[in-house]
Amino acid sequence: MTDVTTAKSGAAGFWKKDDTWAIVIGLGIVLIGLVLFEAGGNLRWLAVLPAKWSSFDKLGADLAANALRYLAQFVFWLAIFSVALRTLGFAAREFVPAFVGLYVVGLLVFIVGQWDQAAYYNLEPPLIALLVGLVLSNLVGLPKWLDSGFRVEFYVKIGIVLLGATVPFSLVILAGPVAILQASIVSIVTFLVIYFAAVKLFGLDRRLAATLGVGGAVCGVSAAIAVSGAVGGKKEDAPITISVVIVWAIVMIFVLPLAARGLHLPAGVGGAWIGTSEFADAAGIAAAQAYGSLAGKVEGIAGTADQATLAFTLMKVVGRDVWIGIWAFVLAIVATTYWEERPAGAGPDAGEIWRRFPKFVIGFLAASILVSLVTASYALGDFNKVATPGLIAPIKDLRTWAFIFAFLSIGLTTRFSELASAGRKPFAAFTIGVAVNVVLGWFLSTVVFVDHWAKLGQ
Amino acid sequence: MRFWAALREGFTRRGWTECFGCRHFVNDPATLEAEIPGLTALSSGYASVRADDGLCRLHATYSNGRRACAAREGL
Repeated sequence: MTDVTTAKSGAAGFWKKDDTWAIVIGLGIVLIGLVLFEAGGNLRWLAVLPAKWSSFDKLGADLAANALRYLAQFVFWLAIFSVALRTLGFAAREFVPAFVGLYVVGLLVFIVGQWDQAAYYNLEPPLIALLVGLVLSNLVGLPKWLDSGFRVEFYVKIGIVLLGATVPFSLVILAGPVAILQASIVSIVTFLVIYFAAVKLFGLDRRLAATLGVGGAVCGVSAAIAVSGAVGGKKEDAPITISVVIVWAIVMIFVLPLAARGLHLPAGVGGAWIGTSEFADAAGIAAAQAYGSLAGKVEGIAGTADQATLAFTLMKVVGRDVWIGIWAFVLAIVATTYWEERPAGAGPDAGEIWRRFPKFVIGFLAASILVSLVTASYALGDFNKVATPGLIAPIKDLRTWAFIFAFLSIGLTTRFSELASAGRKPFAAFTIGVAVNVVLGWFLSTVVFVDHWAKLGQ
Repeated sequence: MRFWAALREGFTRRGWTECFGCRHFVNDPATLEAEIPGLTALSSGYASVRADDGLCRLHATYSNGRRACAAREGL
């Protein structure tokens, strides 16, 4: 009966959170980039990616010419991830072989994505990575211990911190309030729809209904575990919600970019819609990057790839994720005040707001502020000529690697046969919320705030 | 009124006995990842948002562990 840790995390627990390591690694890379940039150098040599190719000869020549750079980059990632994951408690003998495979498959995904016919055949790297991961984990089958290296949250948070370095802080200030307003409208409506459908239509327990509600309204799996803990849900509430969220999140990775493409939405508008209507950061980044990669390549899709990713991040991370602590605190009060008392374990506590704050967002904002301060003196022309290639572009390419590790890991850790059976009623209640969320998200992104998102960052 | 009283309590509460250190309460992230199917696919047991939540094996609940019950037993 007795199990391992039952302690509060406290100060020592600071290093036992993947948010902490995302900030350390992400900001560390940004700081190294800034120091090198100020000294007249840059991270370009390390931030290698396959070049566009049209024949195997050209591809082979490019890979051969850059073999040492790939090796150095692999060692760089392996070294910093090893320190972080060892500290979190993972065994190097499990993590290292998993990461070797992750890097090799990631490189192959990039190679396919850089083929000059890739856009024609819809071979967007995020979607390829996800599909390859799903096939390997569900049809081929991989040992469970390899999951030590398939850390979706860890990689996606590092990518989001690095993303901060490529976003001017002034843009966060200007666009953030609209993102918060749109996200708040959709989050509150989606939560109420799922909650009341679950309780009134299907007669589900209110704690399960609340867990399902935030799973759809705020930030998917992370919100589900946070709110289930805050309201003192049954042991099975979080797994039920996680199963439904995963199924819908993976469906939406493919459906939302496809629908946005069919509607010829500008990249920023598509990104905002995905940010409003996807259920998890990693899944949403995959969808936003997939859609952004079509901008300028597919007729009728205006804007840039960056606009899609940025609109998504503002909407999802700044507009939805950061409020999880407040949702948890308020629902804990409601649970202990109006719902039936549970024997133990969940009491309202304002400290929840900070404890549950997704700390990696601080890294995103810090990276944005740092780079904005260092480059503040550059006129636009000089910024594009000097800062973009010397500072921003290499960080962006390293970010792309972090995201591809995350996208592959989603597929590699999603084993449908292992998910808890959600049951028809929770699935139906959540699905009603999905329908409302998608339509409302589309309306707000493409009608109410369309000018804002279409011109984001211009 | 009950809501506002609970809100006030949330900001001022002191001295509740907590589940941490109870033999029935488990909040080790690796254990939670093993016992909550799908947790690692789109989130993590090591995420900040999880705070110190854990499973109560006695009552089969998942909670923040901030209010213990009479069944609390030390390790």
